Amino acid sequence: MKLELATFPVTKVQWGERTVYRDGLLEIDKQELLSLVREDPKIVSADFDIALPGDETRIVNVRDVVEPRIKIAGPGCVFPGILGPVESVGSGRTHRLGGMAVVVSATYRPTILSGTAAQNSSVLDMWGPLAEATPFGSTINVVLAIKLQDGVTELEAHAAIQLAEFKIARRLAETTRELTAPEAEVFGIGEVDPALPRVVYIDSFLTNWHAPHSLVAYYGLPVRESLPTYIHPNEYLDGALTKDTRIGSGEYTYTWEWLNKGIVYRLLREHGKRLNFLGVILQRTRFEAEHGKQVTAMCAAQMAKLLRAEGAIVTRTVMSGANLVDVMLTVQACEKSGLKTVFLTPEWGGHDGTEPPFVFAVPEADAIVSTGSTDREYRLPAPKKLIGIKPGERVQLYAGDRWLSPSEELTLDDTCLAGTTDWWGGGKYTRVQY
Amino acid sequence: MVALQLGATRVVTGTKIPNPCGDVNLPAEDDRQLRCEIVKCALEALQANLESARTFVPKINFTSG
Repeated sequence: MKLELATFPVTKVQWGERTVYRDGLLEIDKQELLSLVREDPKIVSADFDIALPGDETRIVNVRDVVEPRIKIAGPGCVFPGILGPVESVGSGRTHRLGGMAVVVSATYRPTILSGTAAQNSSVLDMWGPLAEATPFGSTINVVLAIKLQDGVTELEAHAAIQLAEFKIARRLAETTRELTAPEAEVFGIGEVDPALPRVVYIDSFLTNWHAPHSLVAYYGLPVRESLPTYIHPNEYLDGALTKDTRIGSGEYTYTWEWLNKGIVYRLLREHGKRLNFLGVILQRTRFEAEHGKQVTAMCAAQMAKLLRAEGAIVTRTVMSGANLVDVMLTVQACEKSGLKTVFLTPEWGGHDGTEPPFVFAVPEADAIVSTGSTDREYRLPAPKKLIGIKPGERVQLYAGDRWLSPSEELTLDDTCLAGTTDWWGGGKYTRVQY
Repeated sequence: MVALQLGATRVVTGTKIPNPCGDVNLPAEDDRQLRCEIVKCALEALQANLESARTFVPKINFTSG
């Protein structure tokens, strides 16, 4: 299975008479996009804006960020199970618009008012310290700001937000259908020199069985209390993995990141050179009893062993103690079955970095790559322009949390900021050991 | 596991994270019985003379799903 991923770099975005891509310039017919969004009667108001790197612009109520991609040749579509039928993706040719993103800012009246199943959102600045720390501070962002009808259920809210942003992303990528890309890369994990070390990637992620959407979906199906699943890494590139778009907080993940997962691209690019990439084990975590934690850990290690892996790289998502136990036990189970195992993760550590980075650890986790702390605080200067909220309005990032005035200076940590938590490598932090 | 790592000396094994001292899947009377066992085990743990940290396991069954 091979996928050609063709990149059309976007260096300028402007409103125009029609939606067209030409030599780096993306011209957008705003009315056309608005009519696409308004197809959904649950969306009662919608507006578009452009936010450029360096602009003193703050985007509020951020729920998700997505990169425009479209399937040009081969089976299925980008975002299978959501924008089209469930068909195995990851082969053929896919076009992407590089250097830009669609950011969706959304508000609605929630029905879940507290707890881990409640909605949340984040803040994105296009300049200053936040823009330097997030990948979305250096992309040209087409921002869709929507408000949903009162009375929507939580799952309807997610579906409306996701469908709106995905339709816009697909429409923008559609502009490249007949064009030849200046750059393209072919990805696959076909047969290579058998002497190369055999490496598997264990993608552990937290899912909530009790929430309307579990947080992570595979082919549009929310992953609940499943056991490890074996997939092809190319599936990420075509959007087989997506998220709950009601959950926009910075400690969770964004669709853009699932499409551009640092660790997956690196392993694909090293395949046949330094290593033999065997594929990916998706592992749902956050089992509620020790029994479940032990079973998922054993199962992931056993699957890796059956693939005859010699090495494993493990990552996780969401700052949760229950999830960390599952992941640590997985590292332990892998090491005990003879796999050299690396754990790549951000740390807790408090605002000054002196608190314990993990609430639980196993002695076998002796090769850990840190992607920075999620507790670091940022002082964010007042913006000149606000998107996603009216001037003077306040915002609550988490249900039950304090109310903030986004037109003023803010002090917030990574959990409140879009894209600053680096779960999968490839982020912007530099690590120094001292 | 986590409790021992954090340095607790008398650890009683409960059921599961959202409801550590009970099991909502059980009928009310069985749930009460299970809670009773956990509390009894905790009382025993308090009375035990310890040389080092120890885990006390109550005599219970619970639904692990």
